[in-house]
Amino acid sequence: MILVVARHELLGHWRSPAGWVAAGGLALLYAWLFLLAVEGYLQRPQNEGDGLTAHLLAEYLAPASGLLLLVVPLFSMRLVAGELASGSFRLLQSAPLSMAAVAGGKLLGLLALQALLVLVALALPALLALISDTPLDWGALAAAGLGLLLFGAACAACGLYFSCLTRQPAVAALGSLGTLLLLWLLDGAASAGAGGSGGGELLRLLSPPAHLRSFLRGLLDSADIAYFLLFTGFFWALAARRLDNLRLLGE
Amino acid sequence: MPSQPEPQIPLLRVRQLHKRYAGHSALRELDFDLRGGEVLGLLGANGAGKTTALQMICGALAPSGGEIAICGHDLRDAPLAAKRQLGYLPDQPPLYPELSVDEYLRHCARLHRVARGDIASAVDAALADCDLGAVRRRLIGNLSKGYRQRVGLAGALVHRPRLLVLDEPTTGLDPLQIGELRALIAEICSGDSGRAAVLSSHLMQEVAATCTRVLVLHRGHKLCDAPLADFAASGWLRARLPGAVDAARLKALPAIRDAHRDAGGWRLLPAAAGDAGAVAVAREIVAAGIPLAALGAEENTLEARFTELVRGAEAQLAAAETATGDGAAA
Repeated sequence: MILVVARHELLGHWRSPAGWVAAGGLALLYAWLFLLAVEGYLQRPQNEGDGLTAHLLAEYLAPASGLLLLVVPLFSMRLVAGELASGSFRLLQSAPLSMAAVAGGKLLGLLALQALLVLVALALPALLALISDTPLDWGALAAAGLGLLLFGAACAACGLYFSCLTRQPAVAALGSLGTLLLLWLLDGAASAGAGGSGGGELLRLLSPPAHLRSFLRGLLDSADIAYFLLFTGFFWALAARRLDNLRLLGE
Repeated sequence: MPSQPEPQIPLLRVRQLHKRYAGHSALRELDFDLRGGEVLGLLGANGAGKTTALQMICGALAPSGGEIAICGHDLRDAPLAAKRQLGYLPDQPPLYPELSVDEYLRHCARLHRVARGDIASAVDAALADCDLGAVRRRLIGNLSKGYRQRVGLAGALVHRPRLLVLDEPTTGLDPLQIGELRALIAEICSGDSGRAAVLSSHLMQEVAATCTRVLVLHRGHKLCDAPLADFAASGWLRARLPGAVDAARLKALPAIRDAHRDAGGWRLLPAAAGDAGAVAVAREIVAAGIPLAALGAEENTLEARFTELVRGAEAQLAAAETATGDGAAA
């Protein structure tokens, strides 16, 4: 049943002009970032610094993760808030499926969309390798792609939860965006202020970008994978709980 | 498709159902059973608790207490099994404007676990039932309100539920469509179908034309639950008595148990039931020298009975509030 809800969500993004505009806009921004990264690589002195793959990871995919953080709340804001506002959520409430399955299906549908967007992001280096015969470290790029997907899943779960809290999609988008930016800033605060102190380390542990860093170096760290899975699972459980509680309020 | 329930198990069993919001009781201690072939009309003024009751039956609203079982499956302990037998049309149809009618019904069928191979035939049947074949490829967002209501109904019917729950189902429909909907509900819930429906309305004519049973709610209280025939057989007569007539003079006649006058003329309650009672009333009125221009069974008795029930309940509530106020003052 999760797949039925996920399928509906995934197809729903492509049924509205807003979905196409957001996805198209993100693809254009990816292309722009990619061109900037390649141009920066070509303009630097030869035999200096990292190779092309490391350069792309740092100068292209790292900013792309920031874009993802900004765009995911736009995709997630309507997941539940839109259905509550239109009254279509009654269909899910009266159907034989649990609210955990509803939350899981909606999250899975958005993850499938993000997987497509990550593939688009990785398609540009692949195109470069194809037309210029430039060797790239595909293992490192795949690790970064997985990192982006896990990071996107965490952002989507946070967005899903905020979408369950209100009938106004714009409020849901602002809530999730504010929360994600706050978590993003925790990493900066940890680096700038506390140095190696226990408080700084705790802030870094809580911040998603800090756990994305190893992926963007081409590394797979099981602790970082576990962090993103726990983060996503935590907000999915909160969303499922909230959807169950809607029954108490009659919404 | 779900198996046929045991005959002795009601399709819907509601016991001691109540709902409180912040100290206010929206529904109090509601009890009723519903069996195959029955169409129950929840009748009540706005705010009577009809939608609250239906939302709880569908699992969209958690009760403050009480039990609901659909085909023997407790909605709290086995919600998924219970909801598989349920088709629900809320007061605002749960539609996706960006989907076509066909896509929407397929989605509804998948959500209600219709087998993959049966989805196409289930959608075709629902389209035929609700006369939507001509608009099956059109986007729901481009349809008129009446068509949207029918799409919502088709979505509730697509998995052939045993229990159909309809909240104000004729809203937005034209008179022809209302007639077709009544016929459709009657066909779905025909005696040997093993299916039943609950619908809410504040329109007497709709309930009278569609339902086999009526449950009257007022301020969350159940005032009455009886077959429609019992409402029709209230036993009152309507009389036209030209000239000045005193109610006490009429009540003094042995054939008349009660009499009062309202905007529609005189209402007389015969002492004996049936035609014999009516004949006795006519004979005694004439014998008493009271001019009698017309006499017949009361028309639109559902409305009269409903008004009578609600007024009686209001009087009781007012008396109770007065007693409470007196007690507090003392």
